[in-house]
Amino acid sequence: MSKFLFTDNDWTFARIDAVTEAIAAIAEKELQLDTYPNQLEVISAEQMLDAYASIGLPVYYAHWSFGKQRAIESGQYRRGEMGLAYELVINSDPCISYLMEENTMTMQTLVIAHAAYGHNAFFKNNVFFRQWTDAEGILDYLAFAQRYIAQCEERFGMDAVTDVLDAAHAISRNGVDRARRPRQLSAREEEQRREERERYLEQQLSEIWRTLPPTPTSAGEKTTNFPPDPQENLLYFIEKNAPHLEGWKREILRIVRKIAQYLYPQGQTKIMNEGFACFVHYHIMHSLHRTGQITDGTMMEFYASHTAVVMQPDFDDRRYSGINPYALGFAMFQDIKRICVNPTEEDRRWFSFAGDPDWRKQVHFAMREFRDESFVLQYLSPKVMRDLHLFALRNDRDETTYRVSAIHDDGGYQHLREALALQIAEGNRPPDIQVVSVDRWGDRHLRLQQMDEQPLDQDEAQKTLGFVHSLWGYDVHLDMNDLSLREPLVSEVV
Amino acid sequence: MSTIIDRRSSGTRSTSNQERLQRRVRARLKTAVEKMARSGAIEDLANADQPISIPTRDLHEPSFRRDLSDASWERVLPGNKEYQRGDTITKPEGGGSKPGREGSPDGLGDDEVAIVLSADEFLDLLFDGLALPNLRKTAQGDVQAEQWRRAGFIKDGSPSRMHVGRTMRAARARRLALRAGKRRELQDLLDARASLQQEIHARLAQKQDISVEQERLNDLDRQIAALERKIKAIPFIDEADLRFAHIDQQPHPITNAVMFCVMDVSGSMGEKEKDLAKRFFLLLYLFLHRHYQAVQMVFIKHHSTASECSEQAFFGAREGGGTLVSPAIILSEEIMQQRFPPERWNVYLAQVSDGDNYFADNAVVAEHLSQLLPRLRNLFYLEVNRESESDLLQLYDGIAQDFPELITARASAREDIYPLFRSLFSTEEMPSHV
Repeated sequence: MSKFLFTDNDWTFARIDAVTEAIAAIAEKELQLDTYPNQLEVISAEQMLDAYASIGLPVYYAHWSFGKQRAIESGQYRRGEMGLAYELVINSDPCISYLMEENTMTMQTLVIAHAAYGHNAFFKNNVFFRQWTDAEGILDYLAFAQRYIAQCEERFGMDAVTDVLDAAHAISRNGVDRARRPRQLSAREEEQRREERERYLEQQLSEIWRTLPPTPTSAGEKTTNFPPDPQENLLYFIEKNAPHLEGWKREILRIVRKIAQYLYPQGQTKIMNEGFACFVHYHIMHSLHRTGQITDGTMMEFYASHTAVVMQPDFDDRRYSGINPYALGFAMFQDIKRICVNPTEEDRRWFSFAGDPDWRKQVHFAMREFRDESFVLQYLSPKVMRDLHLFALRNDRDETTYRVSAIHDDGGYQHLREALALQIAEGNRPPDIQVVSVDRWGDRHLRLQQMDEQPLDQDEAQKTLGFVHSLWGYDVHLDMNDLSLREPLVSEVV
Repeated sequence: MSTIIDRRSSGTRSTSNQERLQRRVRARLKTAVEKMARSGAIEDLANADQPISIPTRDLHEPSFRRDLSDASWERVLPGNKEYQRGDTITKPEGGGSKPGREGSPDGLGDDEVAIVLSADEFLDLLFDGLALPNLRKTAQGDVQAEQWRRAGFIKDGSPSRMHVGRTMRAARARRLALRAGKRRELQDLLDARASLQQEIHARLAQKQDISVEQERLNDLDRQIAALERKIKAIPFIDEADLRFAHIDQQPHPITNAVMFCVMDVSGSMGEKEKDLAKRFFLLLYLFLHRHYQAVQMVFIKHHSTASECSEQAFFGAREGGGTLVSPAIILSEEIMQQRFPPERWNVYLAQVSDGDNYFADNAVVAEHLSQLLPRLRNLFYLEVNRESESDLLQLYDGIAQDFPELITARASAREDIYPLFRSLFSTEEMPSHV
């Protein structure tokens, strides 16, 4: 008598049900995962392309850029240049995972283990997701956003709404609070708030534009700076302080900002999130196989796609396009387990937890408390660096050659770790551009300043500044390291 | 803990994004469509999905980005084979590599994105802003057509139109409404009866007289019986429940139009002339079919005689012989009288010819045209591939002095046809709408 969950490769709803149950048991007993309830949705390839176009969100407002994204991707898909992901998963409560109908039963099993348990547990437990996102309210909020923007299109015309969205999208990466946590609101409160805000704004002028001095001694106030401290969240600043922006436009900025904020942790934890999900599916698939619930054939198919996913091409390989977050993350999580279960002398020197009998606790701790940058800084082990043959390359703009600054040897491990962490941090961060002042008593120009060192693409910056100008309504300046741009005028060298 | 949902049937939701994308690049799509219409085979264009390439720079989304092409940086790379610390590697020529540049959301550095237009979208763009000129809502006075339309439900009608669902719904509602009060009353009586019986039992136990109570009990039983009868008497279905689907005659304005397509297929029309003519008619055909449901088309080909033919025969026509224009005009007139009386129809005529006509025929043509023209909305005459204006064109131009309905044009190359077509049907000066 066979205990196999399935022996041929066609999926059925009954099989998915049985497999989910088996996986849930392993996730709970062997991995002690804490997850949101799961909602598995079977979709077609076309629907998967839709989901791609809207950053994987199930409900989204309409904008041409999503149409463009879809045109690009469906073109690549039709030409066979791109395979579709087998799954997509939404950080929501319940956690929604998409299963493609083209998947084989093996793939569905893998996807359920990977997304519905791996990613799901990550969403629920990782500190950045818990701090920055509201899994319970997101679907309601997205529906509200879609409805509101559709209403605006009806009331104010599609072109006017598109203009605001274009501008908001341009600075959406600079519309995220990195330092403090935004308040969470349910969709209904949100709607109520919006109406209140609209009423208020109609009655009231913004405080900073008060031209009647409150006291006769206001002469000193002219010299005080506004804002008192530089503001990193451009979208928020404009939403609150732009002199003449209509209420509905402010609301649209708010929607774009809220969604950017919701997506922010995903960009910060790509390596960890994928690494952890791979770690979970790897464990679960092996466990299913060991307990005789899946066949050897299923296991072979699993290995084929698993190795393809966690493959890291070498830097000189034609397929190389940066460090594969799946490969690095998976290797690191596997290594944490190895360091606990089977530590070497080297591991004991590097990691205080080496040899801890409870590897689950260590894996969970790593999954919960870090983001990519700090995760690499904390856990990238010499063994993983050796396995991946990592090396660091330095480029000085004045030299004619690149220089190898570290390789995977005793002298280089620490340097590699730090260099990679820095590289990840920079890749995850948009250029640091902050609002430094508003000329409240003069021509109301807005002054932005770049706070970090790396040069900006000037052409892009000028165009983006144009969008900022369209929202702000008055002149906008951007001071960069050695250059100053302004809108609506052309750039001038300082 | 897990729910599984089948979402496949809910379809794609990209239409609204697609629509906004096309709107954004409409000008560019239009130019591309028009260019295709000038050169390509129109039959093919109108039958398949058309991918149109749009440069991504038109759809660029700027943001603040780093540009590390001219900066110092350090990168960690996988797959070291032979390097040792301190090794140097010569930079590629021209400094063209930009390993530090952040990924562009446009993806893969493709500088074009293909927007796929369906045949309908293609034709919409092709015929954007065009309409039949001088179309009138009602052909003459207030003549309106009547049309049978569904118009809700009524309580009276012929048995064949009885709506069972609605009838049963009304019956059920009536039964519920009529019963509810009586049921409540019945329940009260039953309760009263039960307590009375208890009282009787109590009194019996204490050996007291129960005659009054017995009488009240009998009275209650009578009332209960009466109520139960009444409830039973409520009919399952009553005449008042009957509902009938109603249809009503509603006036609707005529925008019927008919287009007579008259093509010269005589021997003097060479391959090139025929190609030009067919191109024009094909555009006309697609345009009318795309925009007007009620437009009829009549195809007439002529050499020395004229005959009405099918669409296929018209577009595939290969004939020869001498040329007489008048038979075609006369045939059009006859068909119009018989099938498309001008007081009920907006009648248009499009004629394409190389202008060769038997000299003596011109007078006949002039005579018939002056009779025909007042009853037409427009007559388009297109002369193809002539070095100079023909006698026929001069004749038409002369008539056009008196009849502004007659519009003439000349075309000698493929590329001329589409712009010419646009100018004929452009809505800019023509106030008519459908």
